[in-house]
Amino acid sequence: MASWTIYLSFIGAALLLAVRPRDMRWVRGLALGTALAGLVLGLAAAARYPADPAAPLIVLARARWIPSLGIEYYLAADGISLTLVVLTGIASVAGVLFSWNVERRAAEYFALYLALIGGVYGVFLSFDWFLLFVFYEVAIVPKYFLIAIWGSTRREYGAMKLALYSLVGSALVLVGMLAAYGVSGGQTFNLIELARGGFSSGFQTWAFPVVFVGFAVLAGIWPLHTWAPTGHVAAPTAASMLLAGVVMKLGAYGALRVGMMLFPQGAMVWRPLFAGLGVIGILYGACVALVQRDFKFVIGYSSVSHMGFVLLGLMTLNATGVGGAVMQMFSHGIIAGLLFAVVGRMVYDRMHTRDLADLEGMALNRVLPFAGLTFAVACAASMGVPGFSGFISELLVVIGAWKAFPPLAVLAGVGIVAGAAYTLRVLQKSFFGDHPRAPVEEMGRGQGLTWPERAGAVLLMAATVVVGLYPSLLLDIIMPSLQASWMQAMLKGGQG
Amino acid sequence: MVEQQIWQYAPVLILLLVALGLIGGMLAASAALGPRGRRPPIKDSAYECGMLPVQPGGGRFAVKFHRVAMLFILFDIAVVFLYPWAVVYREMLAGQAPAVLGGVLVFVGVLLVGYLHAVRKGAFDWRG
Amino acid sequence: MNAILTMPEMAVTALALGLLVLDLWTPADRKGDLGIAAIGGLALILAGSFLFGAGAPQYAFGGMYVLDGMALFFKRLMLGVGVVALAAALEYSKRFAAGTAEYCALILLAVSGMMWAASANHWALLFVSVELMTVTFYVLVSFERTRMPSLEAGVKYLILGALASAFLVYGVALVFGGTGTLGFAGDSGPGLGTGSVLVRVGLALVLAGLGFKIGMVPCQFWAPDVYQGAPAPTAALLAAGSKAAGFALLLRVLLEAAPDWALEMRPVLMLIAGASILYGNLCAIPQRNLKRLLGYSSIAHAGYMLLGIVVLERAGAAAILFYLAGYACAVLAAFLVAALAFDPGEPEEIPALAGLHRRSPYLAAALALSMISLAGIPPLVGFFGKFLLLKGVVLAAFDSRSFGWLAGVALAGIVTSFYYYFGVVRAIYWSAPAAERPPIAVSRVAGAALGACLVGIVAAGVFPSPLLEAARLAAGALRIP
Repeated sequence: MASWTIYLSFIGAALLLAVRPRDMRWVRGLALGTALAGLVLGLAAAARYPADPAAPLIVLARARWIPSLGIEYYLAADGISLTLVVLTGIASVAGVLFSWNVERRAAEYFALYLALIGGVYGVFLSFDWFLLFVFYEVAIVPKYFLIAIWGSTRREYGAMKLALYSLVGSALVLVGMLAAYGVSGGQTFNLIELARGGFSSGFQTWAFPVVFVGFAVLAGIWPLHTWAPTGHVAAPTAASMLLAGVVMKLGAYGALRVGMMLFPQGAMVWRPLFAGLGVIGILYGACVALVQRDFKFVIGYSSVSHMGFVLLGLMTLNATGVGGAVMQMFSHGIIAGLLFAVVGRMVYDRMHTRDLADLEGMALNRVLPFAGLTFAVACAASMGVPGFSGFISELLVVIGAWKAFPPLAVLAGVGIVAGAAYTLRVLQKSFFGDHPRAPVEEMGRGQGLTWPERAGAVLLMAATVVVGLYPSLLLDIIMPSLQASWMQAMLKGGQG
Repeated sequence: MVEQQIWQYAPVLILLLVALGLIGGMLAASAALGPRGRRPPIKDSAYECGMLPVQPGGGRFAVKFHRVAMLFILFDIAVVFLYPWAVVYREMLAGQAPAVLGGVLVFVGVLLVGYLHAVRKGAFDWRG
Repeated sequence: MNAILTMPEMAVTALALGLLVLDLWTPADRKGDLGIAAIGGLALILAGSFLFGAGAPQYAFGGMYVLDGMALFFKRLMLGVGVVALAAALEYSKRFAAGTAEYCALILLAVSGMMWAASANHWALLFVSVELMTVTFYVLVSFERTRMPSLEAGVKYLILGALASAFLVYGVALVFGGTGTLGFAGDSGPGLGTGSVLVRVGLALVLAGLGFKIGMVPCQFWAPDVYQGAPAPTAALLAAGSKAAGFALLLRVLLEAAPDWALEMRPVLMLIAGASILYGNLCAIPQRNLKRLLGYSSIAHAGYMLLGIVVLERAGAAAILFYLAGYACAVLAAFLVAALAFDPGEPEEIPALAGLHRRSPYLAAALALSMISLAGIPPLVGFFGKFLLLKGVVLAAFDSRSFGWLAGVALAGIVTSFYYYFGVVRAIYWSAPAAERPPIAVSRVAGAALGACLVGIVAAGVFPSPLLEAARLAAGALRIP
């Protein structure tokens, strides 16, 4: 059933394009219905997982697609996929809610939005490398259009930069894919079979960095992260929510599912480098975020910092770290969505400025109290305050890193502190400025938050709190999937 | 062997020599025997009287000249292809009559379509 | 004699002649019906070509002419291209003062030239078919004789085309001098050796002559000017048909007739492929004219397709066939839109596409799909074609490091191309139009032809298997020694 998340999204997109309802209620309703259906399907699949601990993989659909090349249409899911599917569901519903005020060419907007979601679901559920690659590329086009048509600051630049970075990454992945296909005998692109078949350590040593970097470009690995802040800033609110919340996870997921699963020995060889880059990303993102004057850029760089934790967690190559990385993917997806929603939708659409110096004089905590509450929660979660999802995931990553690279774990701890610093700074400057320039009543007139904004914010806050208070919900489905035989080689440092 | 082949070109060489000799002789004779004295530019022109040998280009012709000239060349060349056919026709008739006759009929048929087209489109209409 | 094998070519020629004759007695206001009749006739021939099975190769005219799987594949492709080009011509010729039927007949003759080329198994037939095609194109390119760019393009194509023909015929003469036979290898024995200098020089000249047809570096200079100036249907036929014919001949010459020479020349061919990809893509970036952009991009696509030749394998040939079919769909769609979306006499500037999505959502979507397919984004056909071509090169890189460089160049080219293809899409969907322009009415014929192209782009992209199998079968017919 989970495969219907993909189909429904594409059907919704096609319907919107074909029918182009004139009534905005229909457009929004269709988009919201599709996104909700995806969320429900994802939750249902996650709730049933793992039905049988011995079989950590649920096969959703399997058919011969291009038999002469051994390409299959193979959709399947394990706990990691399902975690991210649920994340996508939540982020997409919230994104639709925060796009409620899009009036210009709304049918096309939501169609592209749903097409992007469909591609994302497809990547998370594909277990055939070729199919995964196709979905990965399918997501590029709508992403580009969403930013370039409905975006704001330097949108064409941001959109093209994002698209070109993605394509360069995909080109690397394509090379790795074809090489792996050739070396394995040219019979299959099936990820499980390729992982079982194994590759020579010489091949893994050069194929791993190619594939890993190819995917990690989209995960914002330092120094190839520069698309992320400009892209996030240029994108319309819902698109930056998706971009930071979900699309960056495509990269991290691909790096894990393909790069590390197929080339465990290569990962072992290269892990000091990539773990180091992850830590640099954490510290660099935090430091740059600390000095930004633009509200949205702060959040953009915080994404780079948080994704550094994901990379560090992946490179620990132990169950704690990798599991923590997956948790962090989920957690950051929710939190980044929340942060961008506050910045782009709640604040910018009303105040028409993102300059922190201007916002300081607006006393937003009194003008927009609900937005203030939301942002405070988001910041707390982002800093890793216990009780929110950010805490448990970063904790797991740091513990995992302590087992593998103690010095890096210390540096990552420093990164958490730096994260608290920029988060508190931006929280203070944006919402708790002391000296309003005008009476609060005047600024607040007609600025009340609408119900979709409140609903979206509540959904996201609920997700981060629930997972923060009860992390087993996710850990119980993530950890069993790491026990699968094809993941074990990776966790044993490629020796298994 | 190779030498023999080269000797076959001897007549060409002789012709070349004769031509060069003739031209050289005529130029030399005219220089030796011709009148001397003032040489106005008109003396060096191709014709001392009559039409001007050099004129501005781009004189105007009616387009119909070109049209007719082109059609003439087209059909003329097409006829050339009929000669070799006519030469071997009798010999080949015995063995491959349909191919030989059919082939040329198709060829002439295509030409005929072209001719018909030219006529109907008024390509031969001299007044047009 | 087996002349029955040439039925499709004969039928197309007869159709062209019949059209010319019928035109003589058709009143001016009924000329459009002639175009419809031509489309119908060509479609019938296309359907009829499926009566031929792709079995063992069959020969006609003493081995000059071969009908094998590959020839059949190319013929069907060219007939399909011809149908779409005729539909475009029917629409486009409304802006001509006269000459609809002649224009259609010339397209038919060009198609028949391409079909002969697909079956050429003999240097003389190779030359004659190329000439039939090229001479027809001289007229087709300069058909809009009241429009300066069309005439300019015609002159350029004439001069460079004549030069290329000279190369070709000189090369053929040298090969004949060196081998004493005009036939390709065929069933009569192994291919040419690489022994004689005469043959090598001759083959190099032939490569140059055919390189002109496919628009590869360094024989590419005509492409942008001619694509820009020629009437859109002509440019469509040049891009989709003439290029395919060039590749059909190139495959026969390099893989069947002179495989040893091709192996020896492999480094040069790789250089040419890489240079074509880089040149086409880099030069396309600053273009403002849609047809000129397609001209440069066609050079790049020729470079991609050469990747299928340098691996010197059947799989590479199959990839070329697949790619050609996909490229034809995309580029025909693009030129059809170029024929419909601009006013007569208006240069096809990309900024003028602004607001197209409001003037005609169908045309806008078609051009966008075509561009995305040309850029090679899945799930459209352009992606899978590039995937197949790259697969061959990457696998060959295990044996020779230089293929790795070639793959890198190709990937860099593909990433670059994204930039300008999306520039077109951007212009369609969100540049603000300078002035409000009236909606575009798309006639039923043009709409149907465009629809066929779009179905091809999407269907062959999502379900590549049938086309891939056809291409593999066709490439299987290549007699690679």
